[in-house]
Amino acid sequence: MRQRASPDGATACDRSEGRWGVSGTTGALGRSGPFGDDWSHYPSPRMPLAPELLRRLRDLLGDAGLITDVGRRLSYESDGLSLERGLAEVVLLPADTREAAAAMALLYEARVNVVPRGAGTGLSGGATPIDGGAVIGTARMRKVLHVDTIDRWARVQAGVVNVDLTRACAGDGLFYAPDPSSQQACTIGGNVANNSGGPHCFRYGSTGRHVLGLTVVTATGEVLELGGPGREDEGLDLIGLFVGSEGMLGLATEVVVRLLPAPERVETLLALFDDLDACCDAVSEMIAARLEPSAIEILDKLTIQAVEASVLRAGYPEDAEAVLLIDVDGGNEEVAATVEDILAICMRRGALEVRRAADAGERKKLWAGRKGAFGAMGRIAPDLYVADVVAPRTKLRQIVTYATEVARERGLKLSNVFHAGDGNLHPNISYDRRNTDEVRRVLEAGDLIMQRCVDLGGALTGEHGVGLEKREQMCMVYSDVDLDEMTRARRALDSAGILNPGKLIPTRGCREVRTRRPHGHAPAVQPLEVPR
Amino acid sequence: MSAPHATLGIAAEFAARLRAVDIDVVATGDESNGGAIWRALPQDGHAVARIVAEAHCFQDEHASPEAVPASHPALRLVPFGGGTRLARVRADLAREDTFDRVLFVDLALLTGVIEYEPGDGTLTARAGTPWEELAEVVAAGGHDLTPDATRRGATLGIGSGRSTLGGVLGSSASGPDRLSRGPVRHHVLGAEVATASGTLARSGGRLVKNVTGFDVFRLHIGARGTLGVLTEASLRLMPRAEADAIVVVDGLELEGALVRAEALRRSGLTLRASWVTNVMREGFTLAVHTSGRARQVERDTRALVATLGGRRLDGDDARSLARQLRDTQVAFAPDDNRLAASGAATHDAGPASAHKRANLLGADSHCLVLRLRCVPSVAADVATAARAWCVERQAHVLSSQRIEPHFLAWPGVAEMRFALPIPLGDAVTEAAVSALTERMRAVGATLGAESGPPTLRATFNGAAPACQTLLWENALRAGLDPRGLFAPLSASGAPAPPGTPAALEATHGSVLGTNPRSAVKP
Repeated sequence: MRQRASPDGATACDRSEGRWGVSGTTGALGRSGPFGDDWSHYPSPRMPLAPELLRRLRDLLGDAGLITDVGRRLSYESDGLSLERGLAEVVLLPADTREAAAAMALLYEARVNVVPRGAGTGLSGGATPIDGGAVIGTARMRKVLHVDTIDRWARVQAGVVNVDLTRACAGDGLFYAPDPSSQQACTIGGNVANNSGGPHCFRYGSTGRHVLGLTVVTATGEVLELGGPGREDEGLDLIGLFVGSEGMLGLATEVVVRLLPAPERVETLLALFDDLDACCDAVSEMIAARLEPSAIEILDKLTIQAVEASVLRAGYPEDAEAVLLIDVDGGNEEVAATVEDILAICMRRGALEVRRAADAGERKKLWAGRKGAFGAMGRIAPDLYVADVVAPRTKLRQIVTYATEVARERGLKLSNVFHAGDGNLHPNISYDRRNTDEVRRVLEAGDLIMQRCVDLGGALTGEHGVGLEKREQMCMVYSDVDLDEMTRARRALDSAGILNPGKLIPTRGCREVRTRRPHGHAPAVQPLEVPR
Repeated sequence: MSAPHATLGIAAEFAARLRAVDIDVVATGDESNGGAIWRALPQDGHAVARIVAEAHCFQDEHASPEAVPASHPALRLVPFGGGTRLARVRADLAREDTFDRVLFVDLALLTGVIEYEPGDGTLTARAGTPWEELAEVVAAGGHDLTPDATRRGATLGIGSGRSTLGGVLGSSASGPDRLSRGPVRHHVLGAEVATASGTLARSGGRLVKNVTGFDVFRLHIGARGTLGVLTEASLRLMPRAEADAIVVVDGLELEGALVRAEALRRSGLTLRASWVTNVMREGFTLAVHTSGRARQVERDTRALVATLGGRRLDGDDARSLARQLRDTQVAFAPDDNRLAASGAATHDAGPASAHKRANLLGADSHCLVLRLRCVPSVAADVATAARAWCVERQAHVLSSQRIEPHFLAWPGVAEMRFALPIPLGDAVTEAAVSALTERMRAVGATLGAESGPPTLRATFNGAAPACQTLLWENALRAGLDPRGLFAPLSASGAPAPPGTPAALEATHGSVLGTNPRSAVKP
């Protein structure tokens, strides 16, 4: 990386200079090819790993911890972003921090790139392997190590499934707040990498507000303890930097999380609307009125119908244009007062009806429907483009209207299910990947919606992360100077660039990709080849 | 005090260079104090970045050994907002007479709200904006600003004495509302930073939920300006509560007060803030603040009065007492040496009191402020042990008097401070320091000295083993600020070699980990 002074006195780093590092992934988003980072000592991909290295890894991890068989490696070829794939040379599954660190040290010595992986449920390609590299998975690190019910924290291995953590402490009247829709499968370590959210993050905050400490294996294979219960203030905010860093700064093997006491009372409301716009406006009004329910979600008609036609059958009204699903929790009086205010707003905004869940069973069904919505969309079409964009809460209606129009113009089936309270939208588009023209239109629509969000003061992603999917679009939000500082921080902690290279930071300088694509132009992507 | 330099100081020469590019630089102080204090007054973020860029060039030009003695850095930049937290830097500089190599960057001109979105609960403002002003702006829109930081503090003769956005974030000064709202870093959504490379870089954004890119700005929250300069930041805001109430119990013993506070925390009752302190009245006072929906506050307050006894205040009275309680922190602020040593129970927090202005280059009284942090369940034990040590020390030195050290705790989050006077010339032995540090380690608390004579602070903070995190901290400092323009000063005046306790002490002085897990074997 070369530093040069530019005329205005600032120094600039030329991120795009450098030799070819590693071959890219293949896929519809057309990002195969050089990542353009200057890691020239990188071994050429397609060459198998040295047998000596494999032997040492096998000695370290045993047969249970090392996967070399190509059939099994293929099952790791992508994460939730199935349009992107890569074939790792080896998949490692260490059992604990010690094994993970030793394995990382060996890989670092050989300069093999490493893609950390939790459950592989991520939707932006953050866990997509790089051809010729290694994947380190946390699937064998699933223990809840300690739950402290007095000071309300827990230490877990990074592979613990999100919902299992809440289950482990529910008996003591505690819960872990961040609850992504994929919580039945996603891991705490993955949540840390992506700073995952979930419906109840509206009130309680995303993962970053619940991490008290981390055990991290660095790129060179050293082990660091960051923070801890009662000591999360120490030093620079390394935890703050690490959470959301998408596996590019280190591998978290253990996480110390904050637990919350279960609230005295929970109410779940389902408000029915015959107009999606009115539904969005109701949410904007609730935010403006400073109400604090614990979750505010919107589902539209297409989503409702898909959910009701599936095994989830949550009891959503199939003739409503949109529903608001709201949780209110806290003390008895607080909940009662907030529910009253919410009812008033809903009725004022033209809700047809507001139902209250009668009991815990009904509440569970309503939420299961919401969390299973993406899966239920499989009934509509074989593939689902799960968009994830975020905008100020005052602009909800505008984004939804725009997304609807963009989809309609392209003859696409758009469904909306989103964390309305946070302004985090998922305008999802159903498609069939075998139809290459449809794929093109889907990606184009996604880009346009993202651009409009950014234009209205939003950002690229509210919870799914940048990964591969939105890497080039980083230039919509950040300039070269901003990205250079991120690159400096990243290189300070991973000077060899072996951790998840090629993700998040765009390959080309933003000055080259600054121009917006006008409406109707073909995007700069290649359609997916139909696999034989 | 050393004699003024015969030749033009480095800072003075750099100042001339900045003036040539239309950046105002002002000198304060007089020759008899060892030289003038130079401070730049950039007009905006770009000017700050320009200062850094010019510093790069300046350092290149002065790289030859003839120009600058090898043991001293060519130039160092120290940003500040209201100037209420410069005491540490001042003490270090005074010892080694390095003022002529330091340029203070005064953000007084970087003021103004850039965007306040009441409908979205976010605020973006320039780093030099007074915290008080921001609080007023959002209050008018029905929001509370968090953290509930003190609005003012004593200065060293430079700065307005009003806390600023950049200062509150840079020192990560949590308020008592940390209990309900979380620490400072939970409220920052994004920031623009004048980096040590001379650029103006943004990360994060203005949205309450956002995972776009690395949150590099988070490194600057709590870095006290030792990595770069915060020029603009976005905060998430809290809704104003419908009702407030405070229940106060006076005349308690320290342990009793903390035990009661802990019982409340375990009961799961949602509190806004809680305090245990002896700076308000005789004995220890426990104050508990509830806020939220009116009916809930009423119910909770009745329950509190039934459990704790004491008296209750509502509405404006409660809010007014909450402000006073918030400002008790000022008695523990690093600058307030004289005030804390005088043992005054109450004080006004405005900078107008002449006796609070410490002389810029010297203070003839020392106030040792110890900060303790632990998990809430052991807070009572920790505080009792620490207080016993303080009282023993006082008894040893001032045998005829027993002065109760000042104490302030936010029990729900187990953050505690002791302030005790150390007469000039008195040496606190290393044995005494390590006795306390060991005791704290045994009960699982971290201890640091936030204020006091530099050597004593260093002894306290150096007594703890270096944290594991130094590996990454060093790497980040080397990567983001390779020239050490903003690097923390050690007591010797040279930039502290990264990784040493002195470096950490200069940066955040108060909390060094005694982390039993830090020796994990790979």
